[in-house]
Amino acid sequence: MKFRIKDLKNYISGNIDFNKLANLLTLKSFETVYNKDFLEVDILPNRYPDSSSLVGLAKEIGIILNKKIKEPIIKIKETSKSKNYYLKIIKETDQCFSYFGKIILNIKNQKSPQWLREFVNFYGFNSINFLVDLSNFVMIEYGAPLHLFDLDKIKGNVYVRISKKGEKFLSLDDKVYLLEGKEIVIADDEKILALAGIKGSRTAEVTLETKNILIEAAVFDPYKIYETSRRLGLKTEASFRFERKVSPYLSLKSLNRLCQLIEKNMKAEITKGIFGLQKIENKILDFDFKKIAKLSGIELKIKEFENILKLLSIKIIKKNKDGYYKLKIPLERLDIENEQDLVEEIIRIYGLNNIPEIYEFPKREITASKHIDINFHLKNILISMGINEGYNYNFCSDKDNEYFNLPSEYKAVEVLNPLSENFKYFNFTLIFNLLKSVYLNQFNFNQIKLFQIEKTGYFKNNKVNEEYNLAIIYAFKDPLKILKYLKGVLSYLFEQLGIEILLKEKKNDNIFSVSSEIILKDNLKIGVFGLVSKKILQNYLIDLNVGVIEINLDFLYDKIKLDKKFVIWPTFPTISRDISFLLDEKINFKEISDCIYGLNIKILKEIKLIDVYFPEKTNLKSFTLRLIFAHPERNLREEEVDDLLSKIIHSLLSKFNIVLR
Amino acid sequence: MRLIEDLKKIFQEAENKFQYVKNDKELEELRIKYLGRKSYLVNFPSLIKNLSLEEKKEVGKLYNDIKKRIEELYKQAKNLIKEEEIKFDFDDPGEEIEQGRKHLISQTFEKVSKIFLEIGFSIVDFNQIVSEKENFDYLNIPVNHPARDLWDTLWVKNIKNEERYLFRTHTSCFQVPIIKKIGVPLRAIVYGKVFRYEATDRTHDFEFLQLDGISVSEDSNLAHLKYVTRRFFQLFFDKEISIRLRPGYFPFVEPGLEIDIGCIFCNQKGCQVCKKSGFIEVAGAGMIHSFVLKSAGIDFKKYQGYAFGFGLDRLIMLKHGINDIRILHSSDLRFIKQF
Repeated sequence: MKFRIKDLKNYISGNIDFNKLANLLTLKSFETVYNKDFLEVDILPNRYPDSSSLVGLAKEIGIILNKKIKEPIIKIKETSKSKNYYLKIIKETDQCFSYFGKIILNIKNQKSPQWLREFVNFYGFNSINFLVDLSNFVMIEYGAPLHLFDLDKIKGNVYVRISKKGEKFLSLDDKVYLLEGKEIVIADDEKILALAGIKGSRTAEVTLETKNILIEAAVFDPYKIYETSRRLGLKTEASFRFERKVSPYLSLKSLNRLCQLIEKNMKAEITKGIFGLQKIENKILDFDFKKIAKLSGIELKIKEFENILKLLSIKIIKKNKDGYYKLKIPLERLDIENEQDLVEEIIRIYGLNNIPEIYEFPKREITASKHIDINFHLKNILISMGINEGYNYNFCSDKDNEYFNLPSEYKAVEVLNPLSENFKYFNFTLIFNLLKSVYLNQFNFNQIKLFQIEKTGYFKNNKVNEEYNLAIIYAFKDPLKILKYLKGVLSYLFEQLGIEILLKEKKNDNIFSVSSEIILKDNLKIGVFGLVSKKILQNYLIDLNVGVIEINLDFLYDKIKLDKKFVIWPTFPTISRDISFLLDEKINFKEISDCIYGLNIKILKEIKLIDVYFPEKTNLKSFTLRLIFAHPERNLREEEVDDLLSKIIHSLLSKFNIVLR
Repeated sequence: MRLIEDLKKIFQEAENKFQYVKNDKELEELRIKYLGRKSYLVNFPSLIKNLSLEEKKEVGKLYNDIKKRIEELYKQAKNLIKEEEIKFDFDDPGEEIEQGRKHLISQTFEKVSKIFLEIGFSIVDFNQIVSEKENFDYLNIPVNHPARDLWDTLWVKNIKNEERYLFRTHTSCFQVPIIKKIGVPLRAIVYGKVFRYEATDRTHDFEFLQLDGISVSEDSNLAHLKYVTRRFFQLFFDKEISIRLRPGYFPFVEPGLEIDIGCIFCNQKGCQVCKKSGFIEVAGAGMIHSFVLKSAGIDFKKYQGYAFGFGLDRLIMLKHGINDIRILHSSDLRFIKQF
C-alpha cells in the first residue's frame, strides 16, 4: 500500500529521515520502499486490520522511532433527535460480526475541495462528492471501510441478511448481478441497498442532492466477502479490506470520525445514538518472560522487555517476580492472540537481526530416505551409459489415458480443475512424457537417449497410490539397433543392481509393435520393454523410431543390492570356443542353455549368446554361442575342450535339429 | 646330424635378423617366427622324441643353449629399439566423448541432500498427492482461506465421497505427517515438486520446486534456525553469505520471518538482481505454530521447533543465470547437456 509522505506528516511530528525509516520499517515491520513523495509498504496480511491506514502506519512508525504520534481527537456534537425515529436496523445473520450505524441530517453535500480530490485520487478512488470522498478519506485514515446510504431513499427498515436465490442486485455502476442465496446483503423493506462489504447499489446512492444519510460501519465474515467477491468478479477496496479482517474497534472509531468531519465541513445535524452499539473488550494474555529467550535465543533484560511493551501500548496488568505477566492487548491488534504472537512483537521491535547464531546438535540419528538414495544411484548408472536425464510435468492427457489401458483394478487420478486438456491426469506412466521429450528434441538431434525417474500415481481400492517409475527411451532410425541397445542397457542395469530378470514376449499391446514384459525370478512383473508402434509415434508427431523401457521401482527397492561381494578370477587360463548354428526361430536361448548345462560339464563356466540374426525368407534364426571353460586346479588341454565341444554339439543336434554353420 | 645343423642355421639367421630390427612391429614378427607358439624352436622337443638318450643329451644341450641365446637376442633388440616418432597435433579435437548428464534439477537435489545431511537433517520422501488436512487444516490455514479454492489449488477429482485430495501446494504439508510418523526430537527436510493453479510465464510455472525443513525438540529455536539457513546458503552458493531477517507472515509459524541473503552478485552494493537493495529474498521461516504441533499430537508446552521453506527453482536460476523457468523445467537436450 502507498502512503503519501505529506499525509503521514500530519500524524507524526518532527523531522524524519524517510530513507532511514523505510529501512527500519523493512527490518522491523513491513518491507518498505521510499519513493520521494510516498512510502510503498507491503503490509503483512495479519497486520492489515491495524496497520493499513495512515493512523495505523503512523503508530507503527511511532513505535520503531520511539516518537509520539498525533492521533485526531474525535469529539462529536449530537442533537437531541433520536436515531430510532427514522428507522430500525435488523441484523439477521451471524456472518455480519458487528453493524454500527449513525444517522446525519440536513447536510449540504457538494463537490469535494481540491485537497480531498487529490487525496482520494492518490489512494485509488475517483472523486464522487464531498460525502463519499470523506468516507473514503476516513477508510484510508483508520483502515475500516464505511458505507453511506441516502436516508430518504430507504423504504422502511434496514436488514442485514442473506440474499434470496434469484434475487437481483443493481450495482452503482449499473451492472445487474444475479444472487445465489449465499451473499450477505443490506436491504430495506423492498430492495437490496448494498452487496455487504463489497459495493453499494443505485437504490440508495448518495448524490449531490442527498440531504440525510445513514452511515454504516460494519464488520463482515472475511470468507463470505472473499467468496462473493470472487464469484461475482467484483473486487473493491472495501472487499479487499474485509477479506483481511477489519477491527470492530476501528470500525466504530471511523464512524465517529466521519460524523465529526461531516459536521465540521458541512454543518450537519448528527442524531443521537449509535445503532448496534456493543462493548468491545481488550484481550488479556498470560505471558512468561522466559519464553523470549526460549523461542528466539535473545537474552533480554526485564527493563528492555517492559520498555518494548510500553512502545507497543501493551499494558502490564499483573506481574510476579518469576517473570509471569498478565498483559492487556490494544483493541486494534487482532493478530496478537497468544504467547508466541507476543514473542514475535517483542523480538521484531528489539531487532530480529540480534538473534544469535547457534549450532544445534541433532538430538537423534539422521538418515536419508532409501528411495531417494537408490534413485541417485540408478541415475549414476544410467548416465554412465550415456543416457541423459529428462524432466517433465507430472500430468498427461485424455489421449494418453486412452492409449495406456490401465489394468481394471486401477484408476487414473483425474484433476478436478485441470489447467489444460494436456494436464488432465496425474502420470501413471512416464512413457508419454518421454515421447513428448523426443518430439521436443528431434529437430536438433538424430538420436535421443533419455531417462526419467519420477512419481506416478493411480487409485487402487479407492486409495491414491504413489510409486516411483523409471523409464528409458531411445529414439533412432534403425529399430533393430534400438532394441539391441535397450536390451544391453537392461542387462547392464540389472547386473549392476544384482537382480536377475527374464523377458517374456507380449502380444497385441496398444502402444508397442514388439514388446516383452520384464519379470523377476518369482514371476513378478516389474516392467515392460518394447518398440513403440507407428500409430502412437504418428500421434506424437515423432519421425524417428522409438524404444522404451519402463520399470516400477517400488518392486525393486528392497531387492537392490548396492554392496557387492568380491569374486576371485580363475587361477588358470580359460579356454573359449564359439559355435554358430541355425535353428527353429521359436526355440529360445534358455532352452538351448538349459540343454547344455544339462550335460553337467563341470569345467563349463559360462554360455554367452553373442549374436542373433534372422536369415531372410526362412523360419530359422542363427545363434552364435561362446562357451567358456576353466579348471580350478590346472591348465586345460585344447584336446579335452574340443572333445567336450563335440559332445555339446551332438546333444544340440539331436535335441533341436540345429544346422551348424 | 641334421637337427644340429638346423639349429645352428636358425641361430645364425636369427642373430642376423635381430641386428637390423627397426621397430616394434618388426620385432614382434621376429618373436613370433623364432619364439612363438608355432615356431620351430618351441616345437623342437617333439622332434627329438625318438633319438637315443646320448643324442638327446647332446642335441638337447645345444637346443637349450640356442633358445636361451635367441631369447637374449630378443631382449637386446627390444632394448635397442628407439622411441618411435608419433605425429600428433594437439589441436586435434580428440574423440567425442558421449556421457549422459543428470538434469540440473537432480544435481541440485543431490547437492541439497548432501548439505543437509552435513548440517544434520534427515532427508525424507513425501507424497505429491496429499489430503486437504495435510496441506491446509493441520497447518492452521483456515477453512475459509483463499488458497483452498479452485483458483489456486489443483484438486483431485474424488472417486468416492471421502476426504478431499489435492496436488500439494507446498512442501510444508509434510510437517505434521512426519512428526506423527517419526516422533520428536526430529530434524528433517523434504523437497520436490509442488503444484498450483497458475498460468505459466518466464518466472512462474504450475509445477515448481520447494524445500521444507523442520526441527522439533525441547529447545530448538530461532538462533538454531539462523545457523542452519546461513550455513545452507553458504554451502549452496559456495560463498560467504550474510543473512538478514525480517518479519514475515505464514499461518503455520509464529514468530514468522522472511530470510534475505546478501546479494551474491554485487556483494550488497546494489545491482539489477537485488533491485539495488543489496539483498535477495530467499526463504520463509519461523517457530512452528503451536496449532501445528497440536495437530501432530505433540505437547506444545514441552516441545517447540522451527521450520523453514524455500523455492528451489529460483535458487537454481540465480546460481546458474537461467532466466526462464520453462527451460529449467524441460527435457531440452541443448539445456541438459550444458550442466
